[in-house]
Amino acid sequence: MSSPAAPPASQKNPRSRRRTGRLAAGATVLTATLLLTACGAGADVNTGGVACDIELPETATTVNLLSYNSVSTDPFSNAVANGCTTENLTVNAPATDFAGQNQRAIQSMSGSSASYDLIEVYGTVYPLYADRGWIAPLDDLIAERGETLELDDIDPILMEQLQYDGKQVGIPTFWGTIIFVYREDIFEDLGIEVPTTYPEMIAASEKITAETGMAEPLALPFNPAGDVSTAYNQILTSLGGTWFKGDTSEPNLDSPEAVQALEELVTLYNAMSQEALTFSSPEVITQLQTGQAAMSMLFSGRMSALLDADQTDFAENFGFAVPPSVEEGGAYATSLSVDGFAIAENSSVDKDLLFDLVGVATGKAASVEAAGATIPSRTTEAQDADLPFEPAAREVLGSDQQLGLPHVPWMSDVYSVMAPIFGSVVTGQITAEEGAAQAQAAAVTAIATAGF
Amino acid sequence: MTSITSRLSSGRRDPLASALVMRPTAIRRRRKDRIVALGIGAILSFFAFLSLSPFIWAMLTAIKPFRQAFTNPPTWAFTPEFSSFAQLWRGTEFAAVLVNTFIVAICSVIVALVVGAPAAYAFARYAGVIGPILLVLAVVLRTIPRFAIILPFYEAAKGLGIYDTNFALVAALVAVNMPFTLILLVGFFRDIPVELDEAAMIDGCSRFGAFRRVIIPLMGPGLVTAGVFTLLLAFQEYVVALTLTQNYAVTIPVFIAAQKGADDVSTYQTLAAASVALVIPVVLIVFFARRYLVAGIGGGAVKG
Amino acid sequence: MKLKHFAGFSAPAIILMVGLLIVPLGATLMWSFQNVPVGQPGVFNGLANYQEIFTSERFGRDVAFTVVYTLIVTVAKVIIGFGIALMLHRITHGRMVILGLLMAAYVVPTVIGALNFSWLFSDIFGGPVNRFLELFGMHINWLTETGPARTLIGLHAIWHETPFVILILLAGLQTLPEEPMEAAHLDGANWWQRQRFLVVPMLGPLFTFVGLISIMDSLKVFDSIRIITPAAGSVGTESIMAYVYSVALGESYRLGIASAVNVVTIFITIILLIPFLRSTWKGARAV
Repeated sequence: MSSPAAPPASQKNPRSRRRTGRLAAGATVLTATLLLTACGAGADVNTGGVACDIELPETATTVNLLSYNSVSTDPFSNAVANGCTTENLTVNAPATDFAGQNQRAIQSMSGSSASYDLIEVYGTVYPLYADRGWIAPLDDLIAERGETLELDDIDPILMEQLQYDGKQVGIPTFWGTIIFVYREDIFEDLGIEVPTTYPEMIAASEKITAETGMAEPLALPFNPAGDVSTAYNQILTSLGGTWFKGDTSEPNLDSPEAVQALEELVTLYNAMSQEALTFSSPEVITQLQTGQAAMSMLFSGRMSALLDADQTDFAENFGFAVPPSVEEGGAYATSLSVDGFAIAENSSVDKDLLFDLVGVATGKAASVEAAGATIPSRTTEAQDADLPFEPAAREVLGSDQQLGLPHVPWMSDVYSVMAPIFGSVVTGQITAEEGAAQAQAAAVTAIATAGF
Repeated sequence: MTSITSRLSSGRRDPLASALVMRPTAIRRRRKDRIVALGIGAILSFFAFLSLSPFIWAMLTAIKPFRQAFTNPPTWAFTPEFSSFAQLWRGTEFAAVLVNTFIVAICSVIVALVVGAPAAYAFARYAGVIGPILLVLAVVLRTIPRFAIILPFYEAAKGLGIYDTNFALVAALVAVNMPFTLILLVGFFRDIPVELDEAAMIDGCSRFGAFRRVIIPLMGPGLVTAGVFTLLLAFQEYVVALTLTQNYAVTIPVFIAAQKGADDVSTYQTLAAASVALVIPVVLIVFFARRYLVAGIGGGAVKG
Repeated sequence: MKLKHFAGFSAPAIILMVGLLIVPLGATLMWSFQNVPVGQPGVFNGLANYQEIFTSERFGRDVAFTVVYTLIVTVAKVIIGFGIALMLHRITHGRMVILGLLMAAYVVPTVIGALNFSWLFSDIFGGPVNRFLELFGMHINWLTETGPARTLIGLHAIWHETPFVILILLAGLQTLPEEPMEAAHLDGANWWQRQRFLVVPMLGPLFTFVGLISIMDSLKVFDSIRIITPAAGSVGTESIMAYVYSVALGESYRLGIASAVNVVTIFITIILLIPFLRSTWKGARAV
């Protein structure tokens, strides 16, 4: 008279029939729910298109556009993807994360058949693409078809940032320089002036902590996955150092300026939370939005989230200024980043059509769409948008100093091996001199193994 | 007598035995059992809570108004909003990608079982040395890191013109999971007595007929087990799907990872909503299949 | 079974495995002896890649971390998983509900589960764990210090993969025969002795299976590390696969080195699995 164990599912008895019945009921409910809600699925996806006044192809053509997701890039990608998908033409701009973009780009452009026809490019990656002949020079196309594009509305400095070996290989969409952002209300209350040097910035941070109890008012992206190298570049620029000796491929990372730059990096880190090594832009923006931090130095294109009243209670309180320099009288500690679109050389789509699409993606209408979030490269639209951070960024752009990283094909390889070394210097595991020596050696090796 | 005490000591409730032999120690033991059971239930509930805690947190993050979602210290008093779910459903391709992932998952299961079950059966029944060799080879093949196979997969898919198709993705998923499927099913087949095969063949079935008519029906739980793991893989596999898909064949892990914007956390709420939206159907699948899973694994699918 | 039947039944699976898994394995082997700059065909360079990784301090650290991580996490998963399985086996009500809830951590893709998991521990995003620890006067820098970061990766692995162990072991417990248990109980064996001398040995093949899967997968850990500690190299949580990604697919593209690391990983895995492979072979031969 022992109680039976649960019967195996294969036996046909009332319990298993009930179970099958329940399964069927569950499946029906699920399908019904899906069908009902499917009405709205993806309804808002294809918005943000612009007028597409180009010569459409005769036969069905698909164009694939590669670009990472961000509030800065999406307006341009969506403008051309949604606006120009009509009749025979389909333009796809699949969602891609930032880290994946470079990988996908290289995979596509180095293969025999292209997965992507239009490639979004930016400062550190395009020199390699151009050096390998993966992206097409655009000068002829500009001469033939560029008149309607009014490319003179784009600042020549920005156009230059997408040139390689004297040839134009991309058309800029948006740009940004590193500028200083701060809480105007706190600075006013405590009588702090906008800092012009790093020591002033650190002093301001300490004062805010003393007077308001805010634990870590200064938050900078110091993530050794890449941001700390940007910080290093800022400081090196301000001190007048260079990455490479002249026009050669010989690194210059053990120069006195480079060593001093590392020392400054350590000083900066010690003025911030220990967690700064986990900070990338999202973390810093969040801290500013939630009032955990009161000042930072970020690329201007990332700042629009601070002005959104839906995202932060302090949307009205942020002020923007040119970044401080490391020392009195030095250059701004800044960097320049220009994004744009390039045409894949191995694409089988007609280059004329692709150029026209680039024109739409970088055109006036797209720039108006983007101007709410970032600074478009077209000066008219940029200034029309009246972005609070635009004047500071433009002042930096106009200054007569070194901006941005050198445009050499091995920049990416060198950049990637720097980060762990800088991380060790910052945490005090190695001294600045050791760090500089290691960085120099690592850069030399990276360039050699990359085949340059 | 032995049977009565054995029934009692195994903890099952036998009315007859209880009526005959209800002593004070038995009452105390029963109460102690109940306390122990309650205690265990509490501990298990705690573990279940731990298991769910990241998703509970994601849910909270998704329904808080954005300004309060990422404050430090966390905001506990807020009015829930469901706009992030609406944004996920209407503003992104989430629904379409979810459907596509289901399609890929179901196709993978069918192909994996159609290809894998006969092979596992053959490994279990064939007396030669090649069976064990292939099985050990399968284990070795499962040690290959994903990074070693994705580039050749990409080249092959492009070369064959099947890049960014569900076909290529299903083939890749089935191949990647084949070693696991085989190991699982071989153990199960081995538990079915050879006599059944022989009886069927004496009755006039061919080897394949015996397989189809006699063995397969006995294998319900085992097949479901192998099927569920293959299904889960389609929902979980990231690196292979990342390499082989672009516009049309995108699956959930690739889609969700791609939502992460580069600038700020404005997409994080949608990510949180996606996490929650994903946990529910997948847990439901496992929930419905749980008895089969337990029966399949216990029934010998894994008896090495 | 006759050979022709064997061939017929197993051909599709073998072709699939050989075609899609062995061919890439061959390509990997070939690349490991070459220098393959990005987007260009490889140039033979003998054992230079292997030499570089075996003399690289970074690689040595990563292997040490990955192997120790694998062993600790595997043991933890098996012990915790077995404990929970025993408890689940013991109760009668709500067993399947709790099992379903426990499985939530396992079924969700790693890229999402790891992200949600990391939010709990992130001070910036208001994660509650440090707030909870503050009640005891503690504060841990989970993401910046090496010890806590490694612990965090290990905790994630245990959270994510123990349900699988629970599932397998619970199924085994549920189909254990009753008689030996009762006989032992009547003979005076207490609970602990029953587990040690009866239950565990009878579940031997299942322990072997979960151990095998756990070792194989833990050595390849990558997704969670990339999401929870993107700067793995600096924090000390770089696994072998994170190293491969960083040199082959991240900022620089050195397919040769990456392939050499892949080959070495396969060897390490096989060595750690020798006991399990032996029992698989023996079991298969006993047909």
